Amino acid sequence: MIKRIDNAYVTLFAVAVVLCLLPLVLSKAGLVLATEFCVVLAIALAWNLLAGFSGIVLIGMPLFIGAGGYTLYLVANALGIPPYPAILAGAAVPAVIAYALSPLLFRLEGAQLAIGSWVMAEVARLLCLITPAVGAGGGLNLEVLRLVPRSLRLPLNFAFAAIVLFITLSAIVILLKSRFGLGLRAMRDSDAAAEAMGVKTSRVKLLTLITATALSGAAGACYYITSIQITPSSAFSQNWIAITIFIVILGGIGSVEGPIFGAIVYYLLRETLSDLGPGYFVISGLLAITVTIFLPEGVWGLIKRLIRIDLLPIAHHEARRVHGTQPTITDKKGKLA
Amino acid sequence: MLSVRDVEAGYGSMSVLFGVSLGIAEGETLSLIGSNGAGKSTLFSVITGLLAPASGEIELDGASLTRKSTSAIVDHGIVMVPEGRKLFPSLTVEENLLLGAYRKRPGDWTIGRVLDTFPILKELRRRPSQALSGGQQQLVAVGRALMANPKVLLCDELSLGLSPSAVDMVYGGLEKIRGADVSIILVEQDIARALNESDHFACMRHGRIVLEGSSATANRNQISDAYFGGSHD
Amino acid sequence: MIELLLNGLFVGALYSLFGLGLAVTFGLMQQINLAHGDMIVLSAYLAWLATQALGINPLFSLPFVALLMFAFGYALQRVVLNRTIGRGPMPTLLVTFGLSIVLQNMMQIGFSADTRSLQPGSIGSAALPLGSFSIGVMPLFFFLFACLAFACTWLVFAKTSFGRAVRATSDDHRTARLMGIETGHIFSLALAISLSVSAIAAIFLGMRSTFAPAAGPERMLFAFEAVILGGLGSIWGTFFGGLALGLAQAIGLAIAPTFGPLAGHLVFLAVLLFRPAGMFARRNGL
Repeated sequence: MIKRIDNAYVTLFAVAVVLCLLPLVLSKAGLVLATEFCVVLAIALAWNLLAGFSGIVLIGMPLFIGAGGYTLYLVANALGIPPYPAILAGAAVPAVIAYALSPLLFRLEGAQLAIGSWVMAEVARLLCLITPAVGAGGGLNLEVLRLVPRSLRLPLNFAFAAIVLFITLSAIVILLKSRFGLGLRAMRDSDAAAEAMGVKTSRVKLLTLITATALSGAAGACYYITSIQITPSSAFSQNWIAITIFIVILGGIGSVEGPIFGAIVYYLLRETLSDLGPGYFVISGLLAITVTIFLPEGVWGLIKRLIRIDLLPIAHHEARRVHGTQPTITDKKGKLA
Repeated sequence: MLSVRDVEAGYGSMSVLFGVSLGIAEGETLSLIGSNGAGKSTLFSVITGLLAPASGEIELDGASLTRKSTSAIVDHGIVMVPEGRKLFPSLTVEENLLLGAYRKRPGDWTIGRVLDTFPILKELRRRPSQALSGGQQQLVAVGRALMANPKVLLCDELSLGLSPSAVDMVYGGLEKIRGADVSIILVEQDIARALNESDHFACMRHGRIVLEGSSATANRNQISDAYFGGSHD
Repeated sequence: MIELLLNGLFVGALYSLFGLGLAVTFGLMQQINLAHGDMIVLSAYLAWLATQALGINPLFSLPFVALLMFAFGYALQRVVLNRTIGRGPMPTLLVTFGLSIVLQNMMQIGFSADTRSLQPGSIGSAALPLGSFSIGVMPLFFFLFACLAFACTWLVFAKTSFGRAVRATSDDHRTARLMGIETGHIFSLALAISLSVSAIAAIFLGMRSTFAPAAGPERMLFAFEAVILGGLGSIWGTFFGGLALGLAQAIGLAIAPTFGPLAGHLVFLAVLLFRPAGMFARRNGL
C-alpha cells in the first residue's frame, strides 16, 4: 500500500525549493523585489491567521511590524553586531507587547478592536516621535550594516526574508493542522459553541495573537534591514495594513493559499500599474471593493471552485470528510436568518 | 377576501410548497396546523412577500399581490406577527407599537386603542421592550401589527416558548380582536387550542394542504391522520 | 487656565462633529465606516471649490456641500454597502477601507497633495472680551452650531418615524421589512444624513485649520474615539465624548507641546480598558 503524502507538505517543500532557486535566477533588482515580496507575504499570512481564522481584525498590525523594526535597530546597534541575528529580538519584542496588550485587545471586538488597535499603533508612532532614545522624528540608521560586506547584503537580506516567510508558512500550516486549529475554526463560527466543545478560547486566541505578532515583527525587522533607516511614520504606517488587507481580500480571506495568490496578483498589478501613481491606488481600492462584494472567497476561492484542489489542506482528516470544503467566513452577528 | 392559489415555492433548489391553495373570508379566523417542516412558515413568507413564489397567485380583495414587495403588501393590509415575537430591542414598548404604524395605513387602531385592548401594557409603555415578560412581549407584538390597521393578521406561533398562563393571556387578548374588522390566520402547534380559537382550519403536510374544514365540527381522528400522515390508532 | 479649558471645549466640539455622522452609521446602524474621515476631507474640498467658484464665505457653501454629500451617501449605501448587510462586520470594514484608499488618491489626483484651508473672512479674527481674557467669535459660533446640529440629529433619530425605522432595521432586518419598512432605502437615507451633517464638520475643520488628501484617517480616529468614548447608540454621548477628547488634548498640550494628541489617545484607551461600553452607553431609546 502506498502511503498518501499530504498535499500540504508537498507544497511546503515546493515553496522551499522555489525560494532556494530564486537567488540563482534573479537579477539584483529582482532579488530586492523578491525580498520585499517575502516580507509582505509573511505579514499577510500572519494577519490572515488572525482575521481570517480567528476573527480578530487587527487593524493596528503596524504596531507590531514597526516594533519589530525598531527592536532590530536598537539591539543590533547597541550590541554592534550584524543585524541578522537581531531578527530574533525583532520577533520576541512584538510578541511580548502583544501579550501585554492582550487583556485590552480581547475585551474588544468588531469595530472597537479595529479602531482600538489602530489607536495603539498611532500611540506607538507618537511615542517614538517624542522619544530621543529612538531618534525621535528623525528615526534611526542601521549603522551596523557596515559590518556586512556590500556584496553579501542583497543575498543575505533575501535569505533571511525567505526564512521568515518559510517559517511563517510552516508555522501556520502546523498550527492549523493541529487540534488547536480545529478549535480555532470552531471559534470563528461561534465563541460560545467552541467553549461548549471544550475549546479554551482565550488560550487559543492568545497563542494565535502571539504567533501572528511575532511573525509580523520578524518580517518587519527583515524589511527595515533592507531600508537602512527607520522612522516613526514609516514603521507604524497604515500603508502596511492597506497592502496587507488588499492582498488578503484579493487572494481570499480565511485560507492559507489565498494570501499567496493575493500577493502574486498584488505584485503583478503594482509592477504594471505603479506608473499611474495615485491612479494605481484608486484601481487597487476599487478592485478590493469589488472582490469583497462579489467574490468573498477571493481569487483563490474562485480557482478552487473551478479546479477543485487543495494545495495546503489544513482541515483534520475527520473534519475534511464532514465539511468537504473549507468553511467560509461566517458572521457571528449576521442579522439575516 | 384573501386567496392563495396553487402556490409553489422553495429555497434555491429545494421545493417546500407544492400547489397550496387557501382562502379566508372577512372577519374569519383560520388556523393553519401541521408539524414542523410542513411549510406553514414558508407559506407566510410567500404571503408577506419575503419569499417570491415560483408559481401561483395571491390576491386580496381582487388585487394581485404576487411578487409585490413586503412594504406594498403591508400597504394592502396584510401584516404578520412573527414567530418569536421579535420586538426591536433598541426601541421602547411605545416605539415598537408606533413602528407598526410605519406605513400609515388608515384605520381605527391607535396607541390608545391598543392599550385599551391590552390594558396590562398601559404601565409598561415607556419600558425597554426586552424588560417585559414573554407574554407581555407577545401582546406588544400583536399590538404592533394591529397598529398597521390590518385586514389580514398572520400570527406565527403565538404560544412559542411561553408559560401556560402567558399563553392564556395572549389568546385572551386575541379573543378581543377576533371579529368584524380583521381576518386572522393562526399558526399554532397546540391543535386543541388552534381549533378552539378559529372558525376554520387547514392542515398542512409536506408542503400540501391535506385537510380543511370547520373547526367546530372537526374530527380529531381525521386531523391526526392528516397531521401525521397515515392511520392513527 | 479657563482659557485653556475653553479652548479644549472648542476643539472638542469639532471632534464631536467629526463623530456625529459616525454616531449615526456606527452607533445606530452598527455599520463601520473606515472612510468617514476621507468623506469629511472630501466635503472640505467641495466647500473649497464652492468658495473659489462663487466667492462666498465658506459657511454659505454648507447647503451645496451637504446636498452633494447627501446624494453621495445615498448612492454609496444603496449601490455598495447594502450588499454587505447580513454578512457580519468584516465585509463592511474591508469595503470602507478600500473606499478610504480610493477617496484619498482621487483627491490627490484632483486637488494635488498641497494643504488647503477655507478663509473664514472677518469672523475669523473677531473676539468677545470677557473680563481678563477674550474668546474668539468663530470658535464660540462653532460650539453653538455643533450643539444645534446634535440637537437636530437627536430629534430626527430619537423622535421621528424615520429614526425608529433606522433603529429597528439595525436591530432586525427581516422583522423591519415585515413592518413595511423599505430597509435598503432607510439605510441609504441614514448614510446620506450622516454624510450631510459631516459636511458641517468639514467646513469648520477647513476654517479652523488646514486639510490635505491624506488627512482623513486621523480625523476618522478622532471621530471613532468620540463615538466609542460616549457610548454606542447614544447621540449625546458622542457630543460629550468629543468634548472629553478635546479637553484631554488641551490638558496634554499644557503639560508638554508634543503630548497633546497622545493624551487624547491615552484617555481613549483607558476608557476602553475600564469601560468598554463607553461613558453613556444606552441600550434603549435615545
